[in-house]
Amino acid sequence: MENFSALFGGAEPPPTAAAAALGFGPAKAPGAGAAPPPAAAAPPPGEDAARKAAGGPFYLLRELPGTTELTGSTNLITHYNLEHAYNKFCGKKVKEKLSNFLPDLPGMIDLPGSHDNSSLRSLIEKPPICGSSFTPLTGTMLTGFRLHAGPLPEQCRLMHIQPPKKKNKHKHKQSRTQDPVPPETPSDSDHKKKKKKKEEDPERKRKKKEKKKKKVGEESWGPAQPVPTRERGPGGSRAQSQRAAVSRGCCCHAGLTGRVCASSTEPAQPGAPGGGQLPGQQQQQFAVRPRRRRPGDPPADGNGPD
Amino acid sequence: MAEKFDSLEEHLEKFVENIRQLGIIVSDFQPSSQAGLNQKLNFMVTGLQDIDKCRQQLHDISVPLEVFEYIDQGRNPQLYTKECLERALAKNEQVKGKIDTMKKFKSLLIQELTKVFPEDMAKYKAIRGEDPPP
Repeated sequence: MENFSALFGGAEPPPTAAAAALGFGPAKAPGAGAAPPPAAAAPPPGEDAARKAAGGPFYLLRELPGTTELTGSTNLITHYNLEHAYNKFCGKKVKEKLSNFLPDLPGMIDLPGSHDNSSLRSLIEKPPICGSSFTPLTGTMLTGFRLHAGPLPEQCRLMHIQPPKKKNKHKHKQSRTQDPVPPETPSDSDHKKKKKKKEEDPERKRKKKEKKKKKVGEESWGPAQPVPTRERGPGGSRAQSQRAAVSRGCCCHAGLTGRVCASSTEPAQPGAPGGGQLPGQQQQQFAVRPRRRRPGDPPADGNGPD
Repeated sequence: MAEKFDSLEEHLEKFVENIRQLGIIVSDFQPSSQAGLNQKLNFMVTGLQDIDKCRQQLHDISVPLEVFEYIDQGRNPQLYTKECLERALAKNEQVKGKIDTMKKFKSLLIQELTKVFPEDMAKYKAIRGEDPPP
């Protein structure tokens, strides 16, 4: 068996003096054997001795990397204390849309920025040509902002467009259907539904007629039992509360702006950014929106943190 | 750290609110609201000045450009953080697997070489020291 150190060390041992005398040795021309070997072929004796002292008979022996060095063998998320962030973002589903991240921002922010040329990338790639400082507008400059009276055309009212908010249908489903319906193929289920509707229609009509008759009878004979309905707040249905809000002149409860109204928050102050001397209708719309609560803020009365 | 962001956030919220109100004035402009409009325009300039002042406090904050792509596409930027964390964990696990496999390979190689070249491996172990088992 060949020696292991020979595999890592010099492959060929130097020829002995006897072999050289007999003419055995490296396959070279007889005349060239007398010439000294080039310096690059053999390492200098000092270096070789140092290497042998450090690695013994082994070549290519390097220092092992230190055990304190941070590698992928350790869990880097726990090493940098990012478990909380990981659980926060990866534990539950993050909503896709930008409006879920910035719910208070007005306008349609879920549309791609390339549509209306409002992308942040274009702002970086082509920064606007402007000065380095902001100076307040003088009286003469403000004359350039005199506007014509009247409403804007519909296509220009981008500020009022809000993304449609999803209603929570889960509760309705639970209350309506208690037994789970087995899954069906769409074609089969469509046909069955249509047939069922046709079959049920005359029956429903009969039932309705019977109910009406009963009601009439009850009214004549005594007080009717209260019909069970879904529980609402003290204000009744949403439509009722909206109507009441309109009558009160409250824009947000009426579902007109989607903002918090002046009735629910403090009134607009003339000095504040939400204030100003404006006509009554606009003044009502300028209710200052409540500041988003931050972790450091004191808790509101009666409402704990979410 | 958080105070810097809080101040910037507050200024940005005020600015956005001012712009919203400016939009309401302009959308149904009445001659009597010209003074209010002028006031809002000046508030806008002061708002921009306030935001510009926040720049000095945040010069050491760097934002990855990929986040802007998410925002430009109307997507939640938290998805970027989520994907980054998931990618980091997957890569971490991959590298850990490679390191563990290489450690196993090393111990097996030493084991087999010791059987065949006991003297040389003894020398090797003397130089390197005993490796802990993987």
